[in-house]
Amino acid sequence: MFSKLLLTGIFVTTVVFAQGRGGGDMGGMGEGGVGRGGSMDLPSVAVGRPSRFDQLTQTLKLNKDQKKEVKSILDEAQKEATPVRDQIAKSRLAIGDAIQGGKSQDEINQLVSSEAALESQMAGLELGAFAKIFKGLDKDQQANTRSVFQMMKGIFNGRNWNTEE
Amino acid sequence: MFGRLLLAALLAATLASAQGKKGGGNNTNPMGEYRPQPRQSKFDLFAEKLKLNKEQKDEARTILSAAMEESLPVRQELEKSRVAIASALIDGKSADEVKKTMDDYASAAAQLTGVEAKAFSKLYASLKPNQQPKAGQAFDLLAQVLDPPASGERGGRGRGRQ
Repeated sequence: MFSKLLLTGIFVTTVVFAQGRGGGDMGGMGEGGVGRGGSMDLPSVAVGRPSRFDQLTQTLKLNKDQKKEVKSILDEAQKEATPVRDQIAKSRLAIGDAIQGGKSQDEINQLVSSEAALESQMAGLELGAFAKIFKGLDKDQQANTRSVFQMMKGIFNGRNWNTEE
Repeated sequence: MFGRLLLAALLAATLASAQGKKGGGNNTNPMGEYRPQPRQSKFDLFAEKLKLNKEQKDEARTILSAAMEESLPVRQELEKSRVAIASALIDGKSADEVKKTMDDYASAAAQLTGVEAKAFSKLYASLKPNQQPKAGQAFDLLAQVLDPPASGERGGRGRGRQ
């Protein structure tokens, strides 16, 4: 029940943000400009951010044992995610190639479905890791997991979950 | 409303950063602090990969903006599904129930990739013959253009894109 309430809160925030990003005029952006409803041209700036692990530690105020546990959960999930990530990359390349090669819509749809299944598998790994982390937290920490939930999206896209690539 | 405010803040920060760079000539602000150069935007990377000229970039922006708009409700479905998956796992639901949430996610993901594929097909059709070879490789970048990370996020939807 508690987790439902918490996750509902996460969802509301996410949807509000998504609506803010998506609505409004997205055309008419000048060279290098930023549209009101989207950040297609927004350059990403790498400012000396703390590592993901540091962010997790600070956000959740993890104790020594929890730090060890969280790191172990994410390292393990990263191992499982690596082949899935590679398959997704191949799968997306295949879609691009199919479009380039003028394949039929049916063929493209099949590739899209296969890619989506892999995406789902990856989401399962990301959220499985989140659930394990969540269960190892105390109630106060659990109430503070909104940003961690967001952080899980795409966390295993690189070779190392703890570094931005 | 909240999202718009955030975007306004992001825009203000971006402009301030751009103005700072104009007068500078190096990577330091007036206080002498190091300011990293902004990276190329995802769209610029995408346009560079396809070697788009200015007109083609404008056309690409139009196509991608429409795709972004079209993908919005699907992204909301994906977010709902992510919450449902996490909830099911935390609450220790049965394997069948977890599978259902993941199937829902896959269904929304397929819709989103479908939107991307449609947009890419339009873009591809607008390319000149000398731009078309290897253009398919840019499909992966397209997802990054359409899926800018929200504030505080580093990744997008979670694809093999880094």
